[in-house]
Amino acid sequence: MQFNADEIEALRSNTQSRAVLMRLATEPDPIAVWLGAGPLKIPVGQSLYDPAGQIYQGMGQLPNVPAFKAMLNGKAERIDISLSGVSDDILAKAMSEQGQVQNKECVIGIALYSPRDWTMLGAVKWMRWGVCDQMSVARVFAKSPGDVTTQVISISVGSLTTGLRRGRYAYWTDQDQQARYPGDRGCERTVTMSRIAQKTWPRG
Amino acid sequence: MTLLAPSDAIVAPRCLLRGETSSWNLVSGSMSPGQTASGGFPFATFPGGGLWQAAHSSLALKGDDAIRAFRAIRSQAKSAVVPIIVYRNDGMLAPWPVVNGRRVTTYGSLPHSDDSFFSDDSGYVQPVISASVVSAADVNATSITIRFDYGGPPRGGESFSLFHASQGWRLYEIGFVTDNGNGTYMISFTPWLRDAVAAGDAVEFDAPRCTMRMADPSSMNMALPNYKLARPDASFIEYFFTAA
Repeated sequence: MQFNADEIEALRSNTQSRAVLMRLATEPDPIAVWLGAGPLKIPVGQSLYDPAGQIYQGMGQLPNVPAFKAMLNGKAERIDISLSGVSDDILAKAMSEQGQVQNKECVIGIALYSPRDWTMLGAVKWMRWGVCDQMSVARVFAKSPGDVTTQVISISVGSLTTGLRRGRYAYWTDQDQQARYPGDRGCERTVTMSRIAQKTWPRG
Repeated sequence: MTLLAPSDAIVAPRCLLRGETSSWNLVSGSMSPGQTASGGFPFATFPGGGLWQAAHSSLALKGDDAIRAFRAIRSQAKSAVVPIIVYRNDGMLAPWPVVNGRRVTTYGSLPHSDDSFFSDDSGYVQPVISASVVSAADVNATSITIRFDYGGPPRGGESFSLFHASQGWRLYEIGFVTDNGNGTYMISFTPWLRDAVAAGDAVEFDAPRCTMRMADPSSMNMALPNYKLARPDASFIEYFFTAA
C-alpha cells in the first residue's frame, strides 16, 4: 500500500475528503458499497479488486464500520458490520442473496479525494481482508407509539485465522508426551522441574 | 421481485408543499480524531456533498381537494417506501429571462391552434428557461458546461435538476459560474452528479425537483382541527434507486 504525493499532502492537511468502501466478492457481481450517499465510481486501474472499474452504491444512511486492528502476529479477529434503517427494497434483496455471501472475501478500504473538487487522488487503499461467515437480517420492532420499526442487515466477517482450530490445553509430562509422540524422550525430565531446580553449569 | 425504478416515483404537486418555511439542506457525515500533537484539528468528510433533506413546516392545505390530495400522496408513499418527486419551490431565484424590464416566469396555459382548451379547461404548459448540457460528464463530476437558449445567465446559488435514466430527477445547487464568453457557462455544483449526463440533456431551472422519500413513516402526519384547514409538516430525504 503506497500513498502518492497528493495523498500524503491530503493526509497532512487539516481537512480531508475520504470515502470508506466495502466489497463482498459475491458472484456474478460483487456487492460494492461505500459509506456515503449515491453511486461512487471507481475508475479503471484504481482498485486492485476492480481492474475494470466499479460503481459502489451509497449506503444512503451513515452507518459505522467497526474499528479493526492491524493483523500482527496472525491473531484472529472477527468484526460485525451492521446496516440499520434499510428499506424494504434492500432488505428483500439481502434476504434473497443471503446464501451467496457465505465464505466470500470481504475487503474494506479507503479512497482519498481532493477537498477542492472531489477528484480521486490515488488508488483505493484496501486495509482489511476477511471472509464473510454469515449474513443476518432482523427487524427491531417499535416499542411505543411514535417509534419506528427498524430493519437491520448484519454480516459477520472473520480474518483468515478465525477458522483455525484452537489447540487443547496439554501437560508436558512424559506420559502425555508418550501419548502424543510414542518414544519421544523430550519430556523425560520435566518432572524434575516441577519444583524450582537450580541447574549447576557446566556439570551434565 | 422487481426493484423500484424512477418510473415508480409519485409526484407531489407543487401547490401542496408550500408552507411557512421550507428548508433544503445537504446532509453529510464527518469525522474528527480530535487535536493532534502539532495542534491541528483534522476533519474528514465523505466526498460528494451528501444527500438532500427537505423539511416543510405548516403547509397550507385549504379545502377538501388539498386535504384529500395530501392524504393520497401519503397513502401512495407506503410508509416511506415509495419514492416521491418533491419540487423545490424557490422560483424567485431562477435565472428567468427579462423582457421589457420584467421577469418572464410563465407562459400561462396555452391553447390549441384554434384557441380552444382541453375539456377540463387546461392547456399546454412548458418551461420558460431553456438550457442544455454542452458536453458529456461522467458520474461524480462536480462541474458541467451548459448553454442557455432562453433565460440566464446563472450567478451562483440557483438550483437546477437533471433527469438521469437510472436515478430519476436529481437536484443540484450551483456553487460558482464561469462565463466562457461564447454563450456557454461552466458551472460547479453540489452534490456531485448522481449519474452521467450526455450533451444535449435538458437542464431544468423552472421547477427544480428531487427524487426523495418520506424521512420516516410519520413525517406526513396531519391533524384536522376543523376539517377545513390543515397545517401539517412534511419532511423528506433523498432516495436512491438500487441497481439490479
